[in-house]
Formats: sequence, structure tokens, C-alpha cells
Amino acid sequence: MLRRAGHLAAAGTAGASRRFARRNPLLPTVPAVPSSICRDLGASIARASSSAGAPPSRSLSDRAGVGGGGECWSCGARGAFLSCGSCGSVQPVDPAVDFFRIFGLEREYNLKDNNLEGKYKDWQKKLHPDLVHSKSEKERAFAAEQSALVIDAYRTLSKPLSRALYLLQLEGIHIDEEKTITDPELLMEMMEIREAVNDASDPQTLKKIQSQIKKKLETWSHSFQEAFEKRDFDRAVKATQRMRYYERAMEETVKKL
Amino acid sequence: MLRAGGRRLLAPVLRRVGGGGAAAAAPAAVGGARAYHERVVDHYENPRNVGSFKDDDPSVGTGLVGAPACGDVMKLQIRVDESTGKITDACFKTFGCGSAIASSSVATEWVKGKQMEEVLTIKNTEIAKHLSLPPVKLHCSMLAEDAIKAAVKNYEAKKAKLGQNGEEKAAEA
Repeated sequence: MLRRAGHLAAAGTAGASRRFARRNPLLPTVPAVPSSICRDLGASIARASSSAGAPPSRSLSDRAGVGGGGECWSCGARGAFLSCGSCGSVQPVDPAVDFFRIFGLEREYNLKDNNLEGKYKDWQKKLHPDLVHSKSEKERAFAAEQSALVIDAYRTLSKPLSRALYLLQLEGIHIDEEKTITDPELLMEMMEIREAVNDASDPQTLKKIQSQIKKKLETWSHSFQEAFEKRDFDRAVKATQRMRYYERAMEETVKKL
Repeated sequence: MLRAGGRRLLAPVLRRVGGGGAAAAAPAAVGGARAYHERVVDHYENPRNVGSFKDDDPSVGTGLVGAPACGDVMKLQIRVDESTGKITDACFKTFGCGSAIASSSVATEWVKGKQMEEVLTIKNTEIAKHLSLPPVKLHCSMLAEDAIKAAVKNYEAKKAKLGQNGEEKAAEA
């Protein structure tokens, strides 16, 4: 909770960084607009990400066509996906498009592509709101939504844990965020790790703990992959819990280093 | 870069809320929407009864619970007077957010001096109300309630086991 107070401090400098960002069309930022519009934008982004997060409905995917993309609203060209290949117009968000499809990937835990960042930047070169600032209000709204969606997609897929949780979400697996656990083996281990991080006073010790956590993360990441492939979702969810605990411990080591 | 982008998206909203200056000045204001209750801040900054009792002590009950969605882990321990069943001391160790720390800190204060049956009736909603926790943080108080229950259960299990062993030893003799 108190951790998040940092965002407030960040808010103070946001004005300055936004001026900076406007010179760089690649930075995912919103052009200076009145706060009322920003609020609406925030809401639409929330809508976009929540709808994209939901399992795609069959009818919508069918309508979108197998090749991906529909008819461009502006020039009518076929196969417009996120933005139109012919006229470059940014398309409205299609809730049937999942994050993997945005990056041309299969719905798999182990990504066969290590150039996620490059693809992300390519999309922002086509979708960034700054690029359509002289276009219609409609297209500017599409750009704001699509650009935010691509940011969300990139963030989600680039990290193993969020990617794993997203895959489970796409499978319709609901994870109860409020659930508490009492598994003594797991909790004892986490208590010990967190205490070790807490007590570590020099960078060497912290680095050593980090490499131990990293190994465990890899083990459980692999375990998620196996369970998910076998559609053993109970085990997959358990693996994500482990990963969350190790990630948290890792964050603490980073804070202390 | 991406993270910064997210902050910038949030920034106008935060500025709007913190516009008066008061909210922005409060150290515990979160998400700009509201500030945490002063009791949360107090318990976070000066947590009561932090520490550990020896787990193998027969008069100690240990409750270990976790919130996997947040990666929080909470240990709450009670020391029980065997003859009266009264909790004479309590301590906790929590790795988690401020609300989880404050909830467990409050929990240790509340269980001290009470009978075991009595602390089992402590509800997370009471802790949440005392700390004025926002709805998204209700599960932190849930964690504290579960920790109290787990500690009592652990003490009773230990006692039953000791009693059993004692009987066995007596039978052997």
C-alpha cells in the first residue's frame, strides 16, 4: 500500500516528462488534453483491456475472419488489423483479438519469439495517438485505445508470471484473489526467504539470494508450462502462486540492492 | 519506459484528486483516490508485537497464512497459559503490504489477555472497520483473522499431541 505512494510523487513530474514525450512519438503517452477527456480515456482504456482480457467470443472471432482483421472503416480495404494496411487508419478495438494475436503468436507459455519489444515498437509507430493528432476525433479515440491495448499486451506477455495468468484467464480459469492459503511447506519457505532478504546486509548476500530465487522461479515456470500443456489447471494455478511469491521476494532484493 | 507511460496515464487523475495539495502531502495517500486511515499508518510505522516465539515451545501456537494473489505471508503466534486457556502474549511477522502489516499488528493487540474461544470470534470485518480499510484491502484483514484461527488450531493440535504422547508414555511405564 505505502509502496504505491510513489505514484503520487511521480505525478508531480509527469507534466515535465509529458512535454518531453511529445517530441518522441514512440513513447506511449497521452497528448496534453483536459483532465475530463483524460478521465474518459482512462475509462475507455480500462474497458479495452478488460474486454481484451475476456475469453474471445466465438462469433466475434468468426466475424474477424481467419486471416485476422476486418474491413477498414475508412477505406474499406480488407484485412485491417489494428491499423489498415492500405490507408493506415487506426481501427477500433476488436474485443476478440487477444494479446498473443497482436504479436502474431500462438497461445503458448513459451514464446517462440524473442523480439516482442521490436514488434511492440512497430505497432506504436502505427497506432500511437501522437500520429493521428490531426485526424478525426473518432480515429484519435481508436488510437488511444489501440495504443493502450498494445502497451497492456506487451506488458502482460513480456513477463512470465503475467503471461501465465493471462493464459489461465483466456482458458476461463478464475483465480480467487481473496483466497488465503495455509500450506505450511510453501509458507515456511517464503517466510525464510523473506527473512533472509530482510537480514541480508551486503550486496553479495543479496545477489546470492537472488540467484537462488531465480532458480526456483525457473523451476516453477517450467512446472507451469508442463501443467498448462496437460491442461492440469489446478497445478498450473499453484505454480503461478509460487511464482508470485518468488517474484515478490525478488522485488525486495532489488529494493535493497 | 513502459512503466513511466503508465504513470503518465495516471498522472492527470492523480493531480485532479491531489489538486488541493492536502492529499498530495499526505504520505499514505494511495492511488490518489483516498488516504489510508491514520491507524493504518500508525501500525505500519510502529507495528506492535513484532517478533517470534520458539515454535517448539508447547505453550506457543503458530498461525502461518498467505495470500497467494499478493505474495503476502503472515505469521501470528500466541502464548497460552495452559491452566486458564488465556492468551498471555502474542507476536507477528508479516511480509506484505501496509494493510496486511497493520491488520496483523492490530490482531496481536486484540488477542492478548483474551481466552482462546473468545479470539476465535474476532471477525475480519471488525479489523477492517477499525483500520477503515478500503474494499480492495479487505482480504488483508481476512488474512489476520485466518492467522488467529490458525494459531489457536496449532496450539490445540500441539496440546492434543503432547497429551497423547504423555498417555503413551504413561502406558509404557
